Amino acid sequence: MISFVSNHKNEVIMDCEKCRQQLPGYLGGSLPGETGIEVEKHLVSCHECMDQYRLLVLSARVMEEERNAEMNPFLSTRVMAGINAWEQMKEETQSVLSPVRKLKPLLIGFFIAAAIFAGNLIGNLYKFQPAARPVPVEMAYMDDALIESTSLFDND
Amino acid sequence: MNPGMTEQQIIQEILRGNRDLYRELVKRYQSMIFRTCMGFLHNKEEAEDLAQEVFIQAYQSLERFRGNAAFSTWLYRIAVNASLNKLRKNRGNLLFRKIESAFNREKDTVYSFPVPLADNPENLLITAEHREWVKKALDSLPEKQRTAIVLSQYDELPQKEIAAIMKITEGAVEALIQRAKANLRIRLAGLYKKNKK
Repeated sequence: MISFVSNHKNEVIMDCEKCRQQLPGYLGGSLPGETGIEVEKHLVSCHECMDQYRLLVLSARVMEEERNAEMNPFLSTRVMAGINAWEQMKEETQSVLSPVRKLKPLLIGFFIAAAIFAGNLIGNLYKFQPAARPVPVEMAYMDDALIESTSLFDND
Repeated sequence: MNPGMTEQQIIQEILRGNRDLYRELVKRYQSMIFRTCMGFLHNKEEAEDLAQEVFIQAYQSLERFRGNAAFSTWLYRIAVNASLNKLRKNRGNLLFRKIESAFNREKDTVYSFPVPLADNPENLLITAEHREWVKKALDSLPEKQRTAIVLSQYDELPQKEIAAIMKITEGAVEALIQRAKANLRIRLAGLYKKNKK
């Protein structure tokens, strides 16, 4: 929405808010003729908007300056040196890892067998032993373990 | 290099082991990638280092380039992502430096003197402070607005290409650029006022 205010000369000029919105377009030269003239009129009479316009010109100049900054002509050489170093490192890593990769199935098999063996070994360390209650001396005659097996008398 | 070769053919040749052909691609696109990095970092040495990283990164992932988009679009995407990552990293370092300077009780000397603006905009002289304002204003933009404005102002790319790089519609690119310009103006005015006081 375009809003206008009147100045003391009875001319219609754009208000500050509208003018500021149009400034990027004015700087880029993309405003239609009439709007451009209105912006120009406003800028002449308003210092604050003129300052804002100057700031936009400034930013455009700084961006242009950065855009035109000269690049190191040896960038491609630097890139290729970086790539060669990376390729060399990759080849070295592959040469170290390739015997390991060939032996991978064997190594996996070995580790599985070792794990099974170790598990078995650890499992054998603990053997179930029923808790043996010590039999007091006076009750020793009642200890069934000391009684001879009756099977010895079964010869008949 | 055969001048009749398409970029896709060049890439296939590089993948077959003809590494030197990549130098031709670097030469073709180095200035545009440098400009993009410059737009994000505002520092020549840092932009050159980042451009170098971008080309090496692109070479390392060349196998993943499927040719659905132009090689330049793909390269721009890598450059934009690398630049944004670098900025995020720098922001972390900046925070650390701020905390450090707060402990050292150093005074903030930025914007301590007002910089007069010339009467006629054509006669504006760009000073180090002006550059600092613009850099600050650009750096404060949200990432998407910033990417859109860098690609449009520094690389002067058409909206269609920016849309392809950012994977958004052309309308969205236009809206982002408009918002970026408006925000840039507001932030510059804020810095100017702060400096004037």
